[in-house]
Amino acid sequence: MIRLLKIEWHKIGANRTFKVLSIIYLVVIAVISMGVMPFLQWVKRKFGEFDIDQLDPTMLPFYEFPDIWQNLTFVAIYFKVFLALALVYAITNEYQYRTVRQNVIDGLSKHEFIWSKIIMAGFLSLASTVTLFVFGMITGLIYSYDTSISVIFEDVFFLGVFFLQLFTYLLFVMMLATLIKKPLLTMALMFFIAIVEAVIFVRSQMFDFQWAQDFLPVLTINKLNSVPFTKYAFQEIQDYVKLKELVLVLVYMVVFYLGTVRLTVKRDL
Amino acid sequence: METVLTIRNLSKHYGRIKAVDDLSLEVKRGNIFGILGPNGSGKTTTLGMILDVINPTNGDYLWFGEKPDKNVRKKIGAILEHPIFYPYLTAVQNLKIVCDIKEVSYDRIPEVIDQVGLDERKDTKYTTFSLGMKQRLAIASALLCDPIVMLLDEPTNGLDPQGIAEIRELIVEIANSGKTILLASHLLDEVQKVCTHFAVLRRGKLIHTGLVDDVSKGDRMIEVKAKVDNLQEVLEKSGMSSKVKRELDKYIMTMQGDYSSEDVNQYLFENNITASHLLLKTRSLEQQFLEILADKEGGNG
Repeated sequence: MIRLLKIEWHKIGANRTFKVLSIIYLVVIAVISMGVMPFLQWVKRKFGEFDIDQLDPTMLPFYEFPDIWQNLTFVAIYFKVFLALALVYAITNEYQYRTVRQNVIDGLSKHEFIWSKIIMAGFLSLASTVTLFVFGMITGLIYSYDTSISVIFEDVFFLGVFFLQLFTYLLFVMMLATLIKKPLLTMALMFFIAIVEAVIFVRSQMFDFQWAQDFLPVLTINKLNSVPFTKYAFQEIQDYVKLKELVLVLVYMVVFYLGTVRLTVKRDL
Repeated sequence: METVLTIRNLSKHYGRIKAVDDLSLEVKRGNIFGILGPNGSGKTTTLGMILDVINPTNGDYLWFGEKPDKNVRKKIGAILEHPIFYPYLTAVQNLKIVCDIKEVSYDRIPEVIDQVGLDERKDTKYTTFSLGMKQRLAIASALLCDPIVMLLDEPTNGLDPQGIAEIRELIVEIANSGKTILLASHLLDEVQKVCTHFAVLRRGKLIHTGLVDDVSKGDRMIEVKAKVDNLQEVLEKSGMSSKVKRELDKYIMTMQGDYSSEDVNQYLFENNITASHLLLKTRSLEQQFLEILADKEGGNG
């Protein structure tokens, strides 16, 4: 495993596209983690005088323990596409340059090749999760009234959920990139899938066939973490993970892995 | 002698096209084995299959008498078609990846870079390399694991004459160090200069295998020119040749037995003929190759 990670590291360490995309992603995470409160303060200053309800937006406990974990992860997961593009690049490059062929000739098995990408996806997901944790701790400590250990770590499992979502999505993207082999076409397919999923989602809500939503991989991944903000309008929210949703995501994970293996092994490189 | 590679009834079909058709072959340790064939005859497909990047339609192959796995490939140095590296990485960075894959120490990198003479450019990006340098880096990469077997596919393709000479010298050097080499080429002359054994492929079929030495041994020819009318008749009567053929102003004897040009000279002298031209020619692999191809063409229809 160390060997495969080392190989990946040598491959992407000097790749500018990969580094730029990863850095963009980290910056986005940082902005979400630190930037919402300054934004709310700006809103308050700007529109304070028109405020009829006397509602102070900075009163929202967005960054307070333990809410912060679900809030942060819920927002951050929507920016996973930047990280996904980095992975798309890393994989399609191998097919464009035909280095995957040379790797196999040199003595990497096709399975090891796939695993080196999976390990990279896992590493990226883990790094993002840790980054989110660190920023979450900092902002949480700044804005929270109650900083007792039990409150801080109450909902910290949402970071685990975030990791799982990110990792599964990266495996999904890995399968697409392996299928298409070209970076721009892969991105186009990702975009297309997003639109198709949105259309099916809306129609399934309108015409009451919600069961179809289980067949939308990206939606299923996103649904693992439910919308937390409605609680600020005093509504019930789901601040836990449903077992069925979790199992569904794990099933998708296996499907994406097996799909990638099948595509790679069957193919002449 | 130990068998390095056994290919048994290997086939690769793309729809109705048979890129490789029922190919069987054996390569022994220490052979410099040339696979000859025109472009599109299935050389690269064959090498691709025995390196596990192309899935065979039929048949199998053994490396060192065993079913192949990835660890076998770690002991093989191979270049297929053109050199393949990460263009945005330097020579050394690229070789590090190969070291990691083959589980070889990085200490080997300076040695192989030195061996192929790329010292000055080792820290420049691969994209900036000339074709000759790319080819040399590929050979360096194939040498990293101190391979028992090397597979080279058209190693001099696209190089200038000096580059070709350098690469050939390198191959001979490697061959002299006792490694087994499998060399695919459409250049007959290259195979003749470098190889000990050769096989000829045409449209995916194996049509000939043999020793390169036998080619030049078996078919010696002597060109004779003399100012007499019945030269052909005289030469035919000598019993030294299997065939006498006229070619413009000279006659070409295809020799049999151990008769040499001296014997011919002596014989002519005894018949009161003075040769104005007497030249021993070994048939080049090229002629041999073309004849083999022509034979099969006729034979198979």
